Amino acid sequence: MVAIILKEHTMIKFVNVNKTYPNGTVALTDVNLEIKEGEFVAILGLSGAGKSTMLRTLNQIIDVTSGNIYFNNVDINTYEIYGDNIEKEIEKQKKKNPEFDESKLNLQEIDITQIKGKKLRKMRSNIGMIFQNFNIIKRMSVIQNVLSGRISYNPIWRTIIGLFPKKDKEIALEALDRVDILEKTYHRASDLSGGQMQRVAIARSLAQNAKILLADEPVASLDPITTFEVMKFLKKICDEDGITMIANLHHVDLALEYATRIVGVREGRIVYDIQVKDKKDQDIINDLETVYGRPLSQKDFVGEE
Amino acid sequence: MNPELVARLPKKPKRIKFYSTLALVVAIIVSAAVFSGFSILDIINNLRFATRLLKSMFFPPAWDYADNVIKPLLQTIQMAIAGSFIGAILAFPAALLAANNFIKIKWLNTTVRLFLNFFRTIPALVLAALFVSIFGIGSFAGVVALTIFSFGLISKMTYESIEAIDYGQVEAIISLGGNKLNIFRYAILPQVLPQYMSYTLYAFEVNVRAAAVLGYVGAGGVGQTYQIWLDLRRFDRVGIIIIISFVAVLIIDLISSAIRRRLV
Repeated sequence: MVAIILKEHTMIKFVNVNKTYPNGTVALTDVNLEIKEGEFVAILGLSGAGKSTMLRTLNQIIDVTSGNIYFNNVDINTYEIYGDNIEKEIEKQKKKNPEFDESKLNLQEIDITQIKGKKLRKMRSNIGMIFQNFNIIKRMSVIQNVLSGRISYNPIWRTIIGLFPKKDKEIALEALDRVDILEKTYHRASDLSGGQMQRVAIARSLAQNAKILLADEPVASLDPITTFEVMKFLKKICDEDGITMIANLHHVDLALEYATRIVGVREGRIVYDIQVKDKKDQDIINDLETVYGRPLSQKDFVGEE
Repeated sequence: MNPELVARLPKKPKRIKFYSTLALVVAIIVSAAVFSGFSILDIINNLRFATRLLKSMFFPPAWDYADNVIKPLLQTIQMAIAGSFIGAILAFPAALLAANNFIKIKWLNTTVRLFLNFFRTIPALVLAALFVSIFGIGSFAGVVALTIFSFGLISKMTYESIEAIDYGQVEAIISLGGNKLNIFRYAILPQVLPQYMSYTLYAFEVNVRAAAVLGYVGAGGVGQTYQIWLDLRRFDRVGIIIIISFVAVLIIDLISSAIRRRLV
């Protein structure tokens, strides 16, 4: 049986997180937040409210000034995140690897702000990230970009010469197929449109086998039609793979349509937190005026699909 | 003019900065001329010597000597190639250490930059003279001098390019669990490789010209030939060396800059 199962069913837990940048800018103040597995959390707030910082502290691209960020049920041998639904994850592991030995599992609560080096990199390989500017490698082909999602699963020499094993290529091609862009496999990434680039980035996170996906304004550089397309792909992979999603969005209607929970951030503090199904859309929109500190207008919505 | 329009017009900015910069530049040029003893009179007075020299060099040059120029010139080009490419290989790791967005250790960046500046301060000719005294007369000393010269040039331009990359791609590789080597391979190399190759070619162009004089201190190549005929005052032979070298440099520059245009 599994060694330790924590009582609380929380996948991610921010405890009193503060972040002040070296130049004195206070980005986060006393952030406390618990996120359950499978949630789709939309973080809303004005630009500069601390949304991007919050997301980046989760995978420690940005470190915290004080406070802790816990991940529940992390196997301390492999730093894989098992999350709330351990039995399901074990089943998944067994399917991947028939010799998987669950008695060796040692699940513990890990504070990502306290780990460094190889352990931190292993933790990060569970956590995908999608960016506003896509951040795919433009001078490489689409398939190479998706394969770069496998770097943490391969020895360094393979990643340096770019020689990935056949099974990784299969994983990459399947990921491309799932975001419906298989026909662009051998294209140079710079030749793609914005929406296609973002789909390649999603495929990269799929290849990475992310349990948690952080999306920093994933559709802010896209036109309305592509916006809905990309949001649908994000929603689809989260539902199908049980990925926990945390997305900074600046369109309120996208949050209402795709997220299960809305968290409002204002001047580095969490000022609003609600399950979307618990309240009428219009009431949430009214509440958000206090988060934004101004009435909402047309530009806060993408509009009709 | 419409007075209402004039009233709403913002105050015209004063161009103090422009005029003071202009005055400063003029002052620098004039004082530089004074301090270096530059004199137009001297030029005019010595003009006839210059015309005599030019006449003995190019009217006509020693065409029959042309065959003997090719071999040392090729040696010069070989020295330039070896120097630029070895310098370029050494320059990349140094550029990575100097770039403050790859290695975020300030004292290390500063130390490496200081070290690179030090090498760039020493003229290639002085380096060549120093290495001739270490390795003896011959093209090896020249290659070492050009290597160090190219190293200084390429590493500086490359670390500036590394610092100007799109950092988002670095963040993406970090988020994938990548280490420094992965970041280098996937986020930095693809972004700076074209510029880096372009700088290497540029260093090669500069080196071909620099290499031509290195022989003067005994570091091999066409410079040694220059020295012999200048000492013997055979200016017609000096003339033909200049003509052939000029054509070679022109061809190399044309090819190299055509490649560089395609790279970036």
